[in-house]
Amino acid sequence: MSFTSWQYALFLPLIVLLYWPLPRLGRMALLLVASYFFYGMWDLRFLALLMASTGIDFFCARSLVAAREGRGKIILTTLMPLLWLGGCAVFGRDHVSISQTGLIVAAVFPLLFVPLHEWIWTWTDHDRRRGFMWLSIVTNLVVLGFFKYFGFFADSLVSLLGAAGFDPGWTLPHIILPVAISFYTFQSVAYAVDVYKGKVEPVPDLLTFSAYLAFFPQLVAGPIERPSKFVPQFTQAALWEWEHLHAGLRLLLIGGFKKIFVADNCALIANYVFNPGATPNAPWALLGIVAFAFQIYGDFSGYTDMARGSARLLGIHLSMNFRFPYLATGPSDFWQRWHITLSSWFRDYVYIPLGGNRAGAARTVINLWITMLLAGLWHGASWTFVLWGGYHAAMLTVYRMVPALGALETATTAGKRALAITLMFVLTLFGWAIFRAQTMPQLGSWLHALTIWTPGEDWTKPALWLVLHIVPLILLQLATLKARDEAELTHLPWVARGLVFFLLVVAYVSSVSTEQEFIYFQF
Amino acid sequence: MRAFTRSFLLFAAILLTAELATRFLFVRTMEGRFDYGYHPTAGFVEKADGEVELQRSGGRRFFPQKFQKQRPNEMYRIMVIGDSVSRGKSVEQSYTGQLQKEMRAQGIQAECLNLSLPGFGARRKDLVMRQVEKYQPSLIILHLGNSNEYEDEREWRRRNDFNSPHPKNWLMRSMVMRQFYEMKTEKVYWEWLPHSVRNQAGVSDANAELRATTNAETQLEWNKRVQQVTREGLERLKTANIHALLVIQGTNTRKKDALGGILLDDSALEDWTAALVNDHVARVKMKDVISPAQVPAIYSDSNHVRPEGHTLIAQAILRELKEKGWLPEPAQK
Repeated sequence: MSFTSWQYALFLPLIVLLYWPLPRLGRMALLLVASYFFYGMWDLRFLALLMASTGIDFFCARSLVAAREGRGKIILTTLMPLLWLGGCAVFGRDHVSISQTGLIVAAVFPLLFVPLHEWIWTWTDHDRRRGFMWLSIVTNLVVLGFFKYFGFFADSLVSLLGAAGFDPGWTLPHIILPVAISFYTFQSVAYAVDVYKGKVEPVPDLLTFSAYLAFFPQLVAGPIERPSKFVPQFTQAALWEWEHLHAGLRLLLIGGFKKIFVADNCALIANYVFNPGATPNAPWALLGIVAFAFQIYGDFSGYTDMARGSARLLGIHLSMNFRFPYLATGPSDFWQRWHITLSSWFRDYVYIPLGGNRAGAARTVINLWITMLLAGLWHGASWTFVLWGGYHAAMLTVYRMVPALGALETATTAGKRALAITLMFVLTLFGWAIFRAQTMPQLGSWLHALTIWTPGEDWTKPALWLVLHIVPLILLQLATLKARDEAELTHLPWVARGLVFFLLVVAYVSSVSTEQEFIYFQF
Repeated sequence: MRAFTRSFLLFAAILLTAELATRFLFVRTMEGRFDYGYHPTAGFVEKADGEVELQRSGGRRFFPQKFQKQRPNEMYRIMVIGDSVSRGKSVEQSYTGQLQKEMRAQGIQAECLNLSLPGFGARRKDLVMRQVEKYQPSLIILHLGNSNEYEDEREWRRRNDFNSPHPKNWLMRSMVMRQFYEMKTEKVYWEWLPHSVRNQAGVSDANAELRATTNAETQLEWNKRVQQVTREGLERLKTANIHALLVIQGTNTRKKDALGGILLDDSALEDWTAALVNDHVARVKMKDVISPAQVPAIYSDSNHVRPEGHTLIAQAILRELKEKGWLPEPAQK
């Protein structure tokens, strides 16, 4: 169920209406059912994975603070994925196919987890705490690694062996990537680490934790929330305020505008230029990359705004994920403005644990590269994403090494800032070409297109099309710049706000109906 | 904190005002507004004084015309039902207007009404015909072609979509929202994208039409439908004792004949319409009316003819009517 679908337009108000009159635990039960329904609309099977992850994280976190749960509860919880898949196999065989392998893994899961859990409890206090933290982290990452990267690395290995003249003759299984796995895995890892470090108390009951991990507004594509900020919003019941409604609707409207009006319309040109087999010339190649820059920005920041808006209607505040990223003055600044919750996650759980910038310049650069390559790989199992991560690592390195660029990034004069923003925008565009190309040859084709200046299909009117869909976004950004929040309009006079709402609705409704899937759903 | 902020109230007020203004100032009647030509009576406004006014409504862009609901005695009433070809640029220039002019010049008390609507295929023409049967026409001229079946199909889908209780259409019940929504393909800026871009998006009606019209199976299905709807309509007219005349569309093939003229084609219609001709049904073929030598000067594109073409068709119709003996005696001068 996508945020821009009519189903969601019915689903969300229904949940909001049912939610507020309920006591806290009732709300959690509602959120859990709603979130599983929301997720199940994509694929029922992978709810088993979410249930397994929920069980592991909950019991590990409880054990971290020496709160031992009953064995029967653990067994029952870890049996849930098997029961779910079994139920799907029996009652939903016309709609979903359950593989034998899936059933076997689900059956083995309690047989492995329960004894392991019991065994770690026999360890000393210090070792037990570390043991449960790592159990949670490793299981989450192994599951993510298998579903997201197994095919990629196996394929790469086969190609490598093939290049060396050796055919292993393997038939690789086709593995479907479960929606949202990258997001909830990272949230789970953060939860285990933060509970271990004592930054947050573990959630006391399984129901609340299940609702927390599966919370539908941010389940599929974030923001990746920090437990210290997010958990208390579930363990304490929010009080109704009209501001929740106002802010929620405003965020939904602005998010919808960014997605439907900006992203989906820019996608028409971007998809055309990056279509396999396309032969654009230089103006079209440039047009395509500008279109993609605004497509991905409108798409993901629009999604985030809609997620924030949906959560806000339930009295829950989600983090801001974008803050005018194309106004970044350098790569460091860019990552403090683009997908903020992911970049701060990598900073806190990868870069800093690796040593951050505390161990000398060389080590800092190595840490940066490791972090950015992993961040690139997080986006997808493809060498182009690794290259994109490397490209950003290289930019961060160069800006760090070259004093003039470092100074430009932190410049305060208007002229230098404008220069810094322009330079960074151009560099970002090139990065998007790497990101958008599905394969290395496709990236090569795009680069080659930049050298073709022979006249081709008229690009001036499509350029006008882009301007028509980008300028309103820029105007909206100008209106929200002062508040440093892309969806904050409260400092505008009320008349202007009313007009902006009207214009956003007009833009939304009059958009060409070429609804595109949210890009970040694939990650 | 109040439930409704001033900005929200202003927003709601603008929307409401725009909606009301659209409904009351820019749209004369709401009848059939969401039926895309499939409403049975849209566009026919029956006044209290017994007059019927043809208006633009419900996807029917009739030329404004008036006639008495009850046909006056001695009046020979001809109603022309068709698409953009028979519609012409105005009532006067179309073969409907020219036929009336010619008949009156010959002393026949005739009233010819142009009820042709652009993009109307067999099904929607039939709906118009069902309505005009109530106004005691002496003759119905049905302009027959098969180039508008895609539009009929598309508008039927739209009609069903917008009239279904499906939540995705709730927003479109608003006239203002509908206007904004329709801007996307039917107004200006969609045209800024080249066909190659629109094609891959797969949302352009024109592209969808192209795909449909090049599909042999779809063509066959549409031809069958035109035949069935036409036959049923003619049966109905026969039962009501109303004469019918079929004008068979000739399509400009752009292929030259031996003498350098341009050939017209009506092969998809010629065979089966021949079998329909009887005491109640007459037929005029554009292919017979317009010679290959005349085609370049008379056709403005593959289907539409210039006023000179309408004149030729009007003359041919008059000849056919005389031949059939359907025309009343000219009034005594």
